[in-house]
Amino acid sequence: MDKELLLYNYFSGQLTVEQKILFEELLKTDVSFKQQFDFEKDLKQVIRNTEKDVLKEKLARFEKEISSEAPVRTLPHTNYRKWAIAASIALLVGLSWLGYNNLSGPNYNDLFEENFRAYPNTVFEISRGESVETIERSAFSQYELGNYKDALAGFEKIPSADRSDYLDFYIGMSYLNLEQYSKAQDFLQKAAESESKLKAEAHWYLAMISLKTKNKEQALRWLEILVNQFDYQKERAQEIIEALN
Amino acid sequence: MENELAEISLDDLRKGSDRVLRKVYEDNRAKFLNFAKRYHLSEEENVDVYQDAYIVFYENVMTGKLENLTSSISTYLFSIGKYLIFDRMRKNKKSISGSYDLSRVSESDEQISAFELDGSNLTQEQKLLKEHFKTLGGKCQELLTLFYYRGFTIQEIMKAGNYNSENVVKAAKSRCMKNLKERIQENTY
Repeated sequence: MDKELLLYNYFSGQLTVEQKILFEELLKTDVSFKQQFDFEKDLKQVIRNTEKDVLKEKLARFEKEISSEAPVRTLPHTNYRKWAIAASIALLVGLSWLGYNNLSGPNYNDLFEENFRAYPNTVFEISRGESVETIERSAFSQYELGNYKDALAGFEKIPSADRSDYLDFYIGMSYLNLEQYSKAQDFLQKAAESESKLKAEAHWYLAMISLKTKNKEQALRWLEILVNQFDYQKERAQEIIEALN
Repeated sequence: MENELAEISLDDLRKGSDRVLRKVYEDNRAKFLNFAKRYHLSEEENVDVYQDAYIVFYENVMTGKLENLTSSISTYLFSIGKYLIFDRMRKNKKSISGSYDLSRVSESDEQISAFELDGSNLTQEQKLLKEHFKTLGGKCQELLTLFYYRGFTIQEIMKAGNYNSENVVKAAKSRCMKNLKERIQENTY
């Protein structure tokens, strides 16, 4: 019996009773077989450990996002808005004054500003004066006008059963334009996982969010998928990967 | 009804989407933290325990140890969490007798008895192997992970990874293994 097949059957859990007897016999008598088995067993353990690391990292990120989202929700809207405006002004002034180019490492904000452009509405044709003004059409015209809040309100009125596959992308983009990155990420991720025409675009904007939130690993991950699987923004993506590394 | 919901989620989780991973994490978090309260660990410890329980749960789903649930996901998480909490209390040298509600401990749950808690400590050799594994190309890492972690057969890998034939998968797998061994050898001499 082929030793390689024995090992294969062992690791895919398909050893028959007879094979199992042979397998155990070989482990005792055949040194190189035992070595190969130990190597694969170690590898299995190592991969499990690697997967665990990845998972731990993700859970830590979820936890961080959950705890950072929670207090915001409880703040009164107007107050939050006021603070948000004040904070962005402070941030702008602070950043330009600092001249943060001399900070070491990749400049995430620069990379984001240089590369982020709102994505145009490419799926829904808007022609003025059409008599049947569907919710979706008006939501898209709000989107085109840059009224992302109204666009969102419109998109969200569409029952999920009637949502076209590109809607997750545009909902995500509206949140992104409103700087609600966590929500934007959720919807864009849906779009990236779907079979929609805007899959590649979704990857690009997920990378933009990662830049904005200074998550280098994640940005690299999205950009690498983009470069490897799609043509959209390929050269820019490659340049950003180089800038980050 | 609850069973049905739980099963749908397990299948969804198995597809490996981060969105589902997060949704299940969030959906059960508050319930779990509320359940854990009775054991008087700190809030921070409870979150740690929840994450550890979730990791065990997810790993069991991904490696095929847990194929379907007889109860809801949250009940499963509670059962794992309970063991983890007691383990932690023992380490904190707190007594677990007295006023604690031990009623859940006696619940027989054959699904839980199979889970492994440790396995996170690697030997020196394994740590080295891990470093080399991470330097492999993405496609190789993916293939080996599908085989050794997810327990996929060659045929399943062929479908999941868009390979043209089983032979292509087999050849790729041998190449990846050879590559890995070479990397280790280069660094030991």
